[in-house]
Amino acid sequence: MKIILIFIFNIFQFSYLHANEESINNENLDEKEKIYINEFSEINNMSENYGRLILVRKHNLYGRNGISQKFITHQRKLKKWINNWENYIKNIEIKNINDIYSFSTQLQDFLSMQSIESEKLKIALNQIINNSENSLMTIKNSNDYNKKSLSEFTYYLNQIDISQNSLKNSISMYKNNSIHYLRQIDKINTMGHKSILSKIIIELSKIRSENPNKTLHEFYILINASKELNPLISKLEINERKMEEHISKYQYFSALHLSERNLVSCSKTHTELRNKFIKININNYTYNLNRIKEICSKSYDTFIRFKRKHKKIYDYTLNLIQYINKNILINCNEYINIIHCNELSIINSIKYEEFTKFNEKETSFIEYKMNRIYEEFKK
Amino acid sequence: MKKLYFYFFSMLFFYNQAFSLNLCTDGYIDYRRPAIPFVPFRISDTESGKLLSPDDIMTALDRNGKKYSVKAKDFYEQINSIEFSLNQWGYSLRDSTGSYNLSSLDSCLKLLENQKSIINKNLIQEPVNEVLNYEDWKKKVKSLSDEQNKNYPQFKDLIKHRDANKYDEYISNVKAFDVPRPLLKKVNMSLFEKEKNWVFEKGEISKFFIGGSAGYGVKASQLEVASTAYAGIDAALLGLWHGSVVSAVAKANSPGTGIGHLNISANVFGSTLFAFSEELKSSAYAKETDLFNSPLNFEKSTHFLLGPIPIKLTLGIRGNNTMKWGLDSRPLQMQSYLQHYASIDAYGAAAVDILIAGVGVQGRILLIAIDTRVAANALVEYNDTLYFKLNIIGKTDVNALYGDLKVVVYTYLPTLKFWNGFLEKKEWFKRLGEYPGFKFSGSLFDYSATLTPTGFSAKGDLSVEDVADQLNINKNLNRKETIISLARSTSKRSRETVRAIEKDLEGEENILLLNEEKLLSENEVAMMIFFDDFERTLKEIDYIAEYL
Repeated sequence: MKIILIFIFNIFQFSYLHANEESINNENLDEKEKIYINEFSEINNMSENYGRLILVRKHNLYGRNGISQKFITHQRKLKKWINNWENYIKNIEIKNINDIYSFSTQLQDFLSMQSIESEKLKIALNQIINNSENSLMTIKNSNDYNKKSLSEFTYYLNQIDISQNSLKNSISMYKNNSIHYLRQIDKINTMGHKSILSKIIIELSKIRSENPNKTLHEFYILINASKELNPLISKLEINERKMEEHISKYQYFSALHLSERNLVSCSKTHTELRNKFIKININNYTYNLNRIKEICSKSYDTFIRFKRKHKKIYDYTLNLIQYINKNILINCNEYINIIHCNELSIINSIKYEEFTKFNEKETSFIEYKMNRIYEEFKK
Repeated sequence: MKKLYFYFFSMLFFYNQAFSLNLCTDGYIDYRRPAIPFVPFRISDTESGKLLSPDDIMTALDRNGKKYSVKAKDFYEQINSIEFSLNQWGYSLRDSTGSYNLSSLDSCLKLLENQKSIINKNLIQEPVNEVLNYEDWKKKVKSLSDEQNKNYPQFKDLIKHRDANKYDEYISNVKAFDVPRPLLKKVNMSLFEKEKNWVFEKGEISKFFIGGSAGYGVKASQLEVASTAYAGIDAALLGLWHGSVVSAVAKANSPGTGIGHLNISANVFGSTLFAFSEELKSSAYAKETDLFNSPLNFEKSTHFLLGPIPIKLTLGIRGNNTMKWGLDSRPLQMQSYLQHYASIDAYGAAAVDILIAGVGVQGRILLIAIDTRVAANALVEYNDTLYFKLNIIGKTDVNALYGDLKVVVYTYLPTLKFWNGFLEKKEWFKRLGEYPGFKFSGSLFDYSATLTPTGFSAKGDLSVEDVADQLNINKNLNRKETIISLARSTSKRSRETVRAIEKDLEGEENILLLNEEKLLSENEVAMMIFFDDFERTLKEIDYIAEYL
């Protein structure tokens, strides 16, 4: 059946073409010339337009590191994070007044673990939002095509529209859901902390305590402090690992910005933590305070050592380019990698002497672009 | 002595018949009648009618109606020679009519009727033809470039630092955004150029003639962007003179690396008025130059036959003429602008070297009123991948060759009703030009094109040459065969593209995509339930605690 249809299609095409040629005569050559070139232009625009659709769909949406995959992974982790809250709260048990201090240590560990996890979830969500925005921009950069000039393909034009809208809408939905989840994470964080206190009240009510209100107040201070300070501490801990990563890859500007951010949050965290520490006088916080000091000074020292390594900033960038070229898997025969391959081609072909002339903005831009390529294609 | 009334005559010097005939009589219709017998005027006193001897001094009125003294012999020799000439054409000074059309330009006769209304219409500037003035254009360019630089740096800033040869090595395997289908010849990104010219010519060189031209050429390659602009006006005056009134050429190039260059020259009547050559040392360069802003004046004299009467005629052109050139150049991109305003009249002045006859020129011919603006930009753009973009726009408003210019010879003659004692002004005239006008408003050229590594798209004034390379069209074919070849290639390209798209639309991934929104909505509903369940669980605990 299909063969017959193809056969009919071919006959139709032949007769259409034949009819087209028949209509050309010496009088209408100029007019026909315009019509055909216009059609040629429009078909090329349509091709580019659809080419972008394929690229965004295949690479940005369904690719190995695509939005869809990232979102699914993220959602699984988010559910796990929420389940952790639920299970932990449900299972809080204080059988004896002597258990309180061991419980508080365990509680702090849990809260700090959840806090680190929530920071990681937020980073992943921000990546999805960025990828979605870049994908929508890639679609937006298409050349429009004039549907009137291609009216003989109306059926396909409509189908293309449907697919294109579906692509844009889906990516927008991923983006909006991610924004929604970001808010949801903050909300759950607050709720989780609150419900832990509720559960402690319930548990304390079951045992006899000499001064339940004092104990409760101490827990209240602890939970509140955790809620406020843990995100800061978690960020610092994540940043510590990040700093090592940046240094190992010669990501000068990433390391520089991180170091600047760390200096600010270190002093902020330190001050706030010390204030809470004085108020609540719980020994366990000394551990955290020491840890913060350690993270902050270590991170700063590491960066200063890294900064002394090379005199010129472009030396870091050249090393970074070399590192990333060695550690990515990118197939530039695949048209879906065109954007990154083009960017990589330009960066790789910049002459050494040009690098020496670059200002900080330009060098930093190159590093930013290389980092993005690395994120997408790392081995 | 009876008052002598008759007595005015034109005496004509500079009688160079051969010269003036050759130059000025082509294409004229002479209203020559059958010759009439020559009856000389008698040498007599204008007051008394009494016969005079040739050496007597008599009083006559000059062309301004003032009395003056002249020898009767001289006076009557001149008047009789004119009478003789007119008699040969079938006219006489004794005719009672006041004015005679001895000849006119044949090409204009049929247009006479429309003359008046067309002159009335004259220079109507219709809003539809409005184009940006230079300031607005500069603002537009600035806002565009500001917008581009807002997110500085960008990839397109980086591409100028690359080694083009090395870049090609890296990029050669990468295909552009394109539907995967059999590709036609890959577009060569090394050079993309387009030239647009506009020429306008009206009138005849042997009479009045005006010609305008404007042109723009731009080319862009991965390494350089260059542009050339020119504009000019040519004119001819009754074959007395033909040449360039004004012209200007400006060339600029803007390489990705290294030094750009700008060359401008402007001429008025063939001599250089303005020349400018400069290296564009900085990476961004913007300049506005008044090439000229000066009144024009040019005169040329000849000897001229008015019917049978030779006179000296001076024709000239005069007017205002302004030309501006603006350039905004950045590495690998350039925008430039050429604007020309001119309003030029032809005028005439005629003279005879005796007092008794007057010669005048009436009316005027507007040679040209022109407002031409041509602008172009060419740039290498980075829009996820490398693009070349060209835009050429030219607009003009032309009013040319309308009006009426005639040379008149007049003198005061008796009415032959001399009992009234009245003098009568008699004139003979010749139309030098009488034109209904030529008006043109609108677009000279409008072309925009984008070239990507595998595609070409353009709008506006397109020709098969623009796509011949990409469609493998044989350049040796005749015009009809070329268009047929174009039709075949376009049709093949369209079919292949649509088939490739069709195949993709039927593919698994597209079907998955079409369900994506639905799946995402369902997932979102499930997630909301999940969030709600969690919230409810925690609220139950909170509720109990509150109760306690």
